[in-house]
Amino acid sequence: MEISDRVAILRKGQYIATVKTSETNENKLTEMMVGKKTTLNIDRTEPVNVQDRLLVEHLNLRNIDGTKVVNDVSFIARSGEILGIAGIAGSGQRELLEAIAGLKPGYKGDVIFNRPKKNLPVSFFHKTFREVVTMAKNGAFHYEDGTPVSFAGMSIKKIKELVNTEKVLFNEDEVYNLKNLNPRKIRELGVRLSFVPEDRLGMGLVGNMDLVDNMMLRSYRKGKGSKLNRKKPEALADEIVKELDVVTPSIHTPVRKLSGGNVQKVLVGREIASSPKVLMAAYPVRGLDINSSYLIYNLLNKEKEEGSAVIFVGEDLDVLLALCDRILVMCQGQVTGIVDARTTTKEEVGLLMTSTEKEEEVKENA
Amino acid sequence: MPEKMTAKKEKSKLFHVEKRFDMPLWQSILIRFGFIIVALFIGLLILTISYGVNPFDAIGSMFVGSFGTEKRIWDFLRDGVLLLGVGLALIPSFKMKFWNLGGNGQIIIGALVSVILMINLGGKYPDAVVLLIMIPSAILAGAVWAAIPAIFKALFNTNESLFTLMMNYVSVGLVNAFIMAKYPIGSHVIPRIDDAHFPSLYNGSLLIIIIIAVLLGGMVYYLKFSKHGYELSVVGESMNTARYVGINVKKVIIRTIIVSGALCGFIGCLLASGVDFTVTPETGNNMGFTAIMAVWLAKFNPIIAAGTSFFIVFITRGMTKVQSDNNIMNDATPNLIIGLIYFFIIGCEFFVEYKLLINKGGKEMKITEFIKSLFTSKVEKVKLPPEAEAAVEEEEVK
Repeated sequence: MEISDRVAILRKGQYIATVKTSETNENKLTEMMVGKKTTLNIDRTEPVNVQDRLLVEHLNLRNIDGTKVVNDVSFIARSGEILGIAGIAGSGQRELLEAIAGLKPGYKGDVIFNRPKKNLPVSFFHKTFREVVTMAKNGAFHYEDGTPVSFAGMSIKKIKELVNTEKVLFNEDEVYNLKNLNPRKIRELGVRLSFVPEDRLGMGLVGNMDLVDNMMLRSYRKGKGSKLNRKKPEALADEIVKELDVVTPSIHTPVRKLSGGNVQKVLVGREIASSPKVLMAAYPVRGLDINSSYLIYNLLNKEKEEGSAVIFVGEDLDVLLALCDRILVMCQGQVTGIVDARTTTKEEVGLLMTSTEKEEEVKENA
Repeated sequence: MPEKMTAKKEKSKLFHVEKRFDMPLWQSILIRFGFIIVALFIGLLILTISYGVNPFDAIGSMFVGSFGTEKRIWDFLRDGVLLLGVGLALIPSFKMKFWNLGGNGQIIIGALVSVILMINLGGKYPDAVVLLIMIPSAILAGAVWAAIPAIFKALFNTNESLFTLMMNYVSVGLVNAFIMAKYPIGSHVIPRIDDAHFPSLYNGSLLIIIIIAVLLGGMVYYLKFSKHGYELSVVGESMNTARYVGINVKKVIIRTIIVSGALCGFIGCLLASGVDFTVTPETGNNMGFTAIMAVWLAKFNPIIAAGTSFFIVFITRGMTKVQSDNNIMNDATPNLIIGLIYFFIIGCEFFVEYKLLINKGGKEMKITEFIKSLFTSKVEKVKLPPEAEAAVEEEEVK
């Protein structure tokens, strides 16, 4: 818009029109690009019920060749807000997320996941009965009125009834250190951490498998025995195709045959299907058309509203400023600042992106 | 102007290859069959020219070779299922993109272990007892033989193709060493062993056929419906994705290759105790390699692999019959024809995957259209595509 005199619009390999830049605006251009009227705006809501969800402390990571790619990074991701990560491509954003997700074993530092359980019923968390009894002995639970739970002298039937009717509540949140755990172990802890990697078909999905088998990637271990259960993944695939308007001949089409936007919808759809507590997305709109991009932004926003801590690595500063609540800026593997996205400017973020020295005055919003 | 020149240059390419996405199944089957028929035609032409063989007699001989007598039919079925068995063993490793070229070695080591047990225990103990020891031992031997390269691959990322290939030579060496130690004088051949034969139903082939059929069902289930099968396909498609979902890649590699080697070892046991009753350095008749082709043609689908295995056995047996019927003394000609057929089968995959567009006078057309155009209109006005016409018009306006 700023540099052109005339704009030619192409859509799906066809020439649509040429217009003078002075006579048009963004909405008109978008309409021609997409072929139908669309509203392209990001509704940023105020964060509600903000809790510290993920604490990253002094994370250091070296590459395979020994160069430092993440240098002493510390930050907190909070539930109910979107934390943006800005930086010139290759400043360690991708490696940082992969380390948190458990794909880069051998890093130094801590990744603390805070699992909110306080005042929530025990039955939500699928503990085995034996564990529940031991935990009660250690004073982990209380009743709705605040009195501590001790199952002493109660019949097993009575205890089960209490648990199942959601009368037994947790005293404290549960805290896990995810340091150097692999993705499987993270899942087994019950930590719902989802990750939309940069490389969709090379890491997030299997190109030659159909939608159903790709849905299974995260959940295939569930269920007893050695047999796969394709019923739930099938239902999930159907749901994602319907909800996110994935254009595909069927749910049994290999995902590599889908277009980039539809591939990303499948991946993001799967990752948010487990209603994650932490959702990390690395360049989720890279290479996508404008329609799909906004769909992805809205999905991230929806996750934020549902209480997930969203970490979004992006390239487009305008989008980062419009979508995120806070923006963490990285430069050469270091955090150069964490700014409030509502009050900051592009110039400030741009400056932080290129400042190699760690700045003293980090504007941290409370 | 220079832009136009380059554009013209690009357009004058004679062939243009385009990927196909939506070929119906019947069409791809038709293409494959067409190519097989062409290959057979050329092969028979060579036979006719060089040996004066009547091509129709040769076709007849090929069928007689596989289906001529009841014994031939049984032998055909037995050879087919044995090749399929090796193919089934290789499919999991190839699906995981672990290029297991050591099928031969794993078969031979299974056969060698079986023969050692047959010689040493046979006659002293009831056959059933020997078999009960022999079958697990052969399976274990094959598994260990395959696990060695797999462990090195998983831990040190060594090249599995070379490693498995070299293991073949080691196993052949072991067979030779055993023969030399046991039969130091004479023709260095282990005579037919009469004890501890694999049980037979009706004849020597039926039970083997039934066992491999069960294996086929098991393998279909393992690959398609089991968690193991799912994990190994994810590892094969993308190790990064496997790590991303927390699959223990090393464990999956070693586990899958052990399954593969164990099945090869079992086939070796079947060969030694049910078919050959001995072991030689040529035991298995290179099935470890032939089976690779069978499963590759089948795109690692076990059920299609059954078809390709039988087809390969059919042409091999058929060509042997053609050779003996016509007193062709050298092996080169039948091998040439078999090679030709393989070449055409593999080559036709190109036409299944891609379509070839031929440029004629600035117009791209399919092969069928091109051939049609050769016959219908000899003088055709060169028609410019609409965009080019528009460009010319614009040029004129300027």
